[in-house]
Parts: sequence; C-alpha cells; structure tokens
Amino acid sequence: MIFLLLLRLALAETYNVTDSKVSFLAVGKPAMVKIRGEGKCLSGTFKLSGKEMLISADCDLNKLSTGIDMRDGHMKEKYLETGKPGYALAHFEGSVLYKDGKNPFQGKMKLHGEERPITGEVTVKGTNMVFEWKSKVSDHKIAIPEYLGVKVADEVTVTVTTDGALQ
Amino acid sequence: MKSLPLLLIASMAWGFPEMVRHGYVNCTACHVSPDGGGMLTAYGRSLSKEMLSQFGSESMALPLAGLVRIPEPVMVGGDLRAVQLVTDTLTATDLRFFIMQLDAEMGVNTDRFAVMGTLGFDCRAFPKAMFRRHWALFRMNDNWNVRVGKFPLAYGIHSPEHHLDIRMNLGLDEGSESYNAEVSYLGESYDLFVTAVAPRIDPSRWQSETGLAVRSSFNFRERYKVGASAYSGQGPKGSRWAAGPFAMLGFTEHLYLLEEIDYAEDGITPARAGLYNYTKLGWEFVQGLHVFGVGEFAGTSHQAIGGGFNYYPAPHFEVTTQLQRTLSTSEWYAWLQMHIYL
Repeated sequence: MIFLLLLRLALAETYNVTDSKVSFLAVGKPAMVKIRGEGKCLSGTFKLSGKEMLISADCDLNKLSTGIDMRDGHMKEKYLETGKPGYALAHFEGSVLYKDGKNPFQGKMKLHGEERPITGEVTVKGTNMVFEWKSKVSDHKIAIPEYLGVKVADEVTVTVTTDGALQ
Repeated sequence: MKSLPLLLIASMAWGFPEMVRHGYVNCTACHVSPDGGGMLTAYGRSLSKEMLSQFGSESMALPLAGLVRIPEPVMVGGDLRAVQLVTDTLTATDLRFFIMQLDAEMGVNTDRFAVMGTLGFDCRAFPKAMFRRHWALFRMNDNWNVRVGKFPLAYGIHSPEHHLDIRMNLGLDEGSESYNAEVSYLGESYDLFVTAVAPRIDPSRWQSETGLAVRSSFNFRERYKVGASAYSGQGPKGSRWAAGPFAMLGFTEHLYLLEEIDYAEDGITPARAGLYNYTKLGWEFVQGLHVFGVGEFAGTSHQAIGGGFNYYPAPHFEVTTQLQRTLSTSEWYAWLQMHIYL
C-alpha cells in the first residue's frame, strides 16, 4: 500500500506555482462592512497524479493585509496569534480533480493550531486554479474578531488563486 | 436662481459617500447615525487616518486629537468649517470669508442605544445658538434600527454639500433637519429607510410639514450602490413631492462616481418644480488627494459645471477648492473651504 502510494507520487507531475494569492472575505457587523484581506503568502507542493492534484501548502499569515495597518495588527496579534509557535502558518491539504471547469474539492486546513475538514469548489482553467470555501473562525478556536466596534461574522469565505506550470 | 454666497453657510452633517470605493456601502461603519454624517464611531475615526488622509498619527484621529481621554460610552465631536469665496459675475467681483459651521456634538453610544445632540451657532444669525440635530436611536438587532428626533431626512445621496440643487431645491438644505421617526434596515445587499416627518416644534425658516420619505438601495460587487428615494410632504402653504434614482459607484479604490436624478413638484415654490441632476466624478490619485469634476442641471433654470480638488492632509482635516461656472449666466464661482472635525 505504502509502496503504491510512493510510486504514485514518484510518477506524479509537479505543478510549479508561478503566482498565487490567498484572500478572505469577512462581513463586519453592524455596518455589514466587507473586510477583504489578501496576501501572496502561499508556498508548498502541488503534484498531479493522473487527473488528481494533490496539494500540501502553507500560507504565511503575517503576509496577509486588510489595507488598514492597525486592523492588521489586531488580526495577527490578538486573534490569529501569529507570534505563538506554529500559529504563523495556515496549512492546507487536499486533492482536487484537475480538469477544466468547476469541480468540488475536499481537504483540511490547520489554522491557529486546530485542524478542520474543508469542502469547497475549485475552478480550473488551463493552469489557473481558484479554490473557494467557507470556514468558521470559531471552529479554529479563534475569538470572534472585533475591531473598534465592528464585529466580524463567524463564517469567512477563503479564496486561493494559483497560476502555475506543469513539469 | 441660487446665489452661492448666501448658500455656503453650514452643512447638515458631514459624511463621505465617496467611501463606497472602499466597500463602505453603509454609513454605520463610520457614523453613529444610520444615514451617516455627524458623530464618528471609533472605527470611522481610525479609517480617517488609515484610508482618508495622507499623513497623520493615530492620536490625531482620536476625539479632541487625543488630548483628553473620553470614557466610553461617551462620545464627543464637532465641526468647524470656513470658506473663502470668490464670485465673478457680469456686474461685480466679490471676495468673502465666513464661518459656515461651528457645532459641538456629544452623545452616548452603547450596543443597543445611542443618544446624540449638537449645540452650535446659527451662522446665518451669529451668535444665535442652534440645536442642529438631537436624536435617540434603538438598534433592534444587527439590521433594524429605530430613530426619533431631529435629523436630516434619508433621501438620495447624503452629500454634505448642501448647496447642491439636489439638496437645496428639494428642501434638504442646511437647517432643514426636521422632527422625524425613522425605521431603517441595513443589510449586506439591501437597505431601506422609512421616515415619517412630524410638524416642527422649533422656530425655522423652513415650512412646518408632515411627510413621508422612503429610500432604498441595493449594494453589489462590494463597491456599487444604486437606489431610489421618494418624499411627499404637506404643510399649511402647500404640498410637494420628489422622487428619483441615485448611484454611488466605486469603479476602483480610486475612481468613483456619484449620480442622482430627481423629479420634483412643489406647490409651495412652483419655480422649484422640475428635473434635477447631479454628477460627481472623482479620482484619488494619491491617498488623501482627489481631483473631481461636477455637473449640476436643474431644468432650464440652473446649469453649472466645475471641478476641483479635495485634500485630506491629516485625520479630520479637509481642504476643498472648487471652480464652478454657471452656464446660463456665465458667472464664475471659486471657493476654498476648510473643515476640521474635532
């Protein structure tokens, strides 16, 4: 079994990421403010085995920005606690059908020390992939963020965009 | 025909509908009032430094520039606005400087309740005191609010430029704040304001009337807001109504368009009946520095085009310079306006 898995990985093509972006969209209440954070924080391995893309990637949370310095500081220090050991990275693992069009994907995400399953959709167009899923802040034992009276809703939409080349 | 020297007196409540370009489609992120303007929230103060101004420090964004610590839930604020105006008409060139607004605002704001009031001077009759706004707000939940008191009607684009045709000629000018009961819904995609207007209990140059205003808008693609408003009022001198669509469009984080079109019938001042249009296209080419063009068309009676610059050097400090030409009379107006929020 392990031999077959190793063989599968050995025969896999590598998808070299040439450009990527991780972004999240949260709604702040009571004003329904759309808080969008993003950053070029992704690193990891993308292996194509047959028609299946196997993914293991990290996002350096310190590279995320919402456009407001003070809000970024609160987000990283008070809520994501990126200063704590192991908390600076969010880790994604999953597999997805690598075929043009919209495909479902399953995986898991470790954030703030808590690993949770994720399910979403990936849109594949050539070598461009856009993953989108919804995660709950509270599932990862993160306090519901509040910044100067604007409280973020528990559910956050995460989008990961990658461009790459197969080798 | 309107005369700008008489009009640039005071603002109803300062607000920044242009912030739609950053995805702020509802005013309550930055203002305590559901319809925007007036008292800034802590978030709004922070945003003034982070997104509106070119320079400045965190302390400058705090109430009273951080010189005095204000304990929660007490809130303080205030406006000082002044203008230097130049008019060039066929008969004369005139230079005037005057204070447009000098108001202090104070209130209490909790999760559920807010009470706000202003005390200032009536700059048309200085040093007469003026209580421009005073109201109480109850937030039923994250979406629904009820407000009673004296405040501006939720109608169209809540522009602070009260001298616009779409403010002044629709009875939304400075000093028109009426005693209202307002129910508002602020959602992620929609908002709705229904405002019942009660007869005046304060002395005012405006007709005391009863009326009903409805404004609703749809927000989409994070930076776009389109909506429509309607108002009908009746008083001892007659009745009037107005209705029309508006749009606040943030094409990018730097390029934005404000547009409002209204049709009004006015039984009190028939000359004010007709079609009104306001367009403002702005571009923030450096954070805090905007260039803009404006156009105003009020039927055949007033058409004006102009342009200028808005500069926000530091939190709560704004300088606007604008040059405007009235097409029908070939008159030129230019003004340099300063606004400080405490």
